[in-house]
Amino acid sequence: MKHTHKLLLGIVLLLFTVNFGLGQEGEVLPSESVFKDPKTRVWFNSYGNIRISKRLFWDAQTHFRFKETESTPFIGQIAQIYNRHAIGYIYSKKVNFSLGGVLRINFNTDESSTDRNVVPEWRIWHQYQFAQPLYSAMIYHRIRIEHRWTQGFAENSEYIFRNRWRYMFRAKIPLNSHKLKPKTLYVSPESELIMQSGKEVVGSVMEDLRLTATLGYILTPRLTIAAGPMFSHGQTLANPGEFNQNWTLRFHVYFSPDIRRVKNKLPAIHFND
Amino acid sequence: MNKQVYRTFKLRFLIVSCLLATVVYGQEFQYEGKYQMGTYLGQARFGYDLVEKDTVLQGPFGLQRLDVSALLGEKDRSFDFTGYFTNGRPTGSWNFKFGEYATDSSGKIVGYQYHVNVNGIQRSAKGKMIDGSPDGLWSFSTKQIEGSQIQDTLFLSEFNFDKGVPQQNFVITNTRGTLIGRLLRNGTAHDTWTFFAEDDNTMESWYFDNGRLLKIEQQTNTLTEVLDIFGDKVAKTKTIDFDEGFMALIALYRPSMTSFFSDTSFVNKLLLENQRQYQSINTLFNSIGNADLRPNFQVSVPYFPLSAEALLHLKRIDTIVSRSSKISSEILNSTQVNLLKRSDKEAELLFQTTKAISSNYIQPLEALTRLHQMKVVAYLPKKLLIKRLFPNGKPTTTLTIPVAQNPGQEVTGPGATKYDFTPNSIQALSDMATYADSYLDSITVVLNKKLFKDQRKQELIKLEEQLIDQANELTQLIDTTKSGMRATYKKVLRHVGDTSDRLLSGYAEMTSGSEKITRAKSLSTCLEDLKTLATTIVSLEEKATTVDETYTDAVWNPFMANLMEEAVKKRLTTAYHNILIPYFLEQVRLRLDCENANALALLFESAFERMLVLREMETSKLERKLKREEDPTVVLRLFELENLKSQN
Repeated sequence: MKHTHKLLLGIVLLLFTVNFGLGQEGEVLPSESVFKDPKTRVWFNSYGNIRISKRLFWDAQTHFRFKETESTPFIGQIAQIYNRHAIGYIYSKKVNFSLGGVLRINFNTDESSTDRNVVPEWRIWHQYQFAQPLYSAMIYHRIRIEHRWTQGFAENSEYIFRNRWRYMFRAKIPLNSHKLKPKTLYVSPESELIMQSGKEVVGSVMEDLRLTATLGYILTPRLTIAAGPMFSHGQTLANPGEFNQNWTLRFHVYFSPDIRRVKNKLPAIHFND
Repeated sequence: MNKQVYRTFKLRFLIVSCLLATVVYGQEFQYEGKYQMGTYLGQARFGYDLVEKDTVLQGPFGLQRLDVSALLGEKDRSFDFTGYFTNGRPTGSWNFKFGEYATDSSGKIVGYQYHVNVNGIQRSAKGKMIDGSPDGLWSFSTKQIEGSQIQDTLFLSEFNFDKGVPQQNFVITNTRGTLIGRLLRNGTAHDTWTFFAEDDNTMESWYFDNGRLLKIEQQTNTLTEVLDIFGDKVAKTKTIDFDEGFMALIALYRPSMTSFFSDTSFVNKLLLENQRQYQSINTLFNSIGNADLRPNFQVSVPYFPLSAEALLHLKRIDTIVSRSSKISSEILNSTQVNLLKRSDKEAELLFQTTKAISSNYIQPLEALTRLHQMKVVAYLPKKLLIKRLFPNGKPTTTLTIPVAQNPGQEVTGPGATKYDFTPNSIQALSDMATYADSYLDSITVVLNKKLFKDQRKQELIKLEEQLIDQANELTQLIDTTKSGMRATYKKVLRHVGDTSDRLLSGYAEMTSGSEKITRAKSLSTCLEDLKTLATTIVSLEEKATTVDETYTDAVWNPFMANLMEEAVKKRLTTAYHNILIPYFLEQVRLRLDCENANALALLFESAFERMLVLREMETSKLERKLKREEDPTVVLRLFELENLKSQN
């Protein structure tokens, strides 16, 4: 737990020392913040957590993210296919770390655009997760740091490099049981603040603030499904005075197979013995 | 034979000779430590040889015990034996001292020693032995010690022996007076043996002539009793030991002497005491070696030789009478017979008959066997012997039994007409023994039959009580567990209860007979089995929970970051819960009877045990085979329980 506290403190300090610049070059800050019309999005997310040894697991996430377009409101068209992979290290039952890469395929959803339809985006990411039991519920702190290389849809556009600083707080509260166990319906309020920094980031440090309420159901110890709406908003990279707003409907599947041989599974739970 | 061979032979001969000598002559050893001689346990020191694995005492012998702390506490029983053995026989001077001392706690220091005064009794015996027999003077004494001084001589006896034969005069003294007697060179009593009382008023004299006791005379104050013992008309005589047998013989010739010997005679008392003293030392000698230490004086008595046939009969009587005596006392002392005779007139008659057999035949014959053991039967005329054995006259084969204040009922035993007890012969007595024995046997047979019947009745009552108890227990078990139980289980339990009821009603309808007791026994076992089965069914829910808990793994859920219970090997648990248990219950419902109740219970238990075992085993193959398998017999086979199935 000590580690948890130190790390949290570090992140908070970092957030406050980020340079709050006055805006992107060439863009004029509006006299007051402009909130764009909310867009709707639908995300289908799969989270795999595949145990490969006593302490290591393969974190495999594939997300299909749809964004509304003018011709297809609400669900829209595919905007991103998102492959996030990492090797995780189980420090204890409550603490784990991951390090890996992301390949995100971005699709151009601007129907009027004549630029490229598909561009890749690369990331290196590492993550620190801490869990705490609280009465019958569990609360989670997640710090995720991403080093991100993106490019626009325009032909020959350069990769820009940014760092993302993310902190997520989440709770999972069982509804029909005294603890999180199979056949339990739970509700999960969640908020994540995503800050960014980098040469290209001038002023727009708050990339996204996500507020979510999810309803989940634990089918088995190895399979959980969840869904819920998310409201998010953050400064546009082009102008810190402008804010994007999104309403996203998210569907999640969590699965955690264990591909170890039976004899290696035992003991499955005693990390520190 | 060349020289080399001869030398080897000589050497071998020498070795073998040495070995043989050791074996034949034994080896000499010394022992020092705890040792027991008779009932005396103390510190011993002696030498011995081992001859053919036997310990043979050899050389000086000493055994002592002295406990100072016991002396200072309450009382010390000390002893000190010293002497010498040659080839296990006492030889040379022997000295025995027995003390029973207490201290009066007064004492003084003399030099560097504490001297403590003791009070008590000291018994001693000393004399010489030659090859296990007394030789020379032997004296026995018992002294009263007060303040470490001799206060009184309670007993003193002095005899001279020549190679085991007592000689010359002897003296025996006690606190009442002194007996002086004379013996011939061959140890026979001779002349007058006289007891002189301390108070001078009493004198008892026994007159012997060359071993033959002529008369006994006792003068108490002014009274003189003269008793002629054997009478004059004696054809043949024989020399025998002057011992208790001789005394018994005198009492047989002169019945009035019985009380004289036991109450009045001083001589008899002193001789008996003397005999006891010799016996106690002789017993000690014989507990570790071989010796014959006894007063050993001889007397001559009338002799009526017994024929070889008569001797055989006497031997027979010994054997038969000891057996009959045992049987009769078993019958007379049996609590069962005593109970039975209260309700059964015939048993009462048999009981009284046994009593009469015992007093009329067995007790006199027992007296005869005692005389035989004392070897005096040959020294009595037959007529006198029989008169003494049957003072009220010889019984016939017919006994008169007093029953319920009636004058008496006449009874006879098996083969009564065959026997005639009238002749004054040993054979007639032998016949009497045989008759009494067979009579007792016939009584035993009848009584046993009666007792057995009675026992069986009792047994049946007990068994039936047990059956009711068992049935009640079963009902209670079923009733108390009904609430909250699964309906299917309840239904089967009810069926077990109904089965028990049905069996009991079936039993109740049986007419009493020997089969009934057999049926009661088997029914008891059956009810026990039914109870076992019911208990098993009651425990099924608990077992199901245990199985589920056993087939659970704790799994770490990375998304929740907690541990979750995960059911494992679900095909096994499903087969257990959904196929096996319902199948077993169905079997109980359809086929339950006494013969398979236990096997059915075993089936439940075995399946449960098997589940616990399978949890730890590699079962992937079994799980694969269980896929979609719904036939219980196949599942039983896969669970390796089909043997049990075929048994029930």
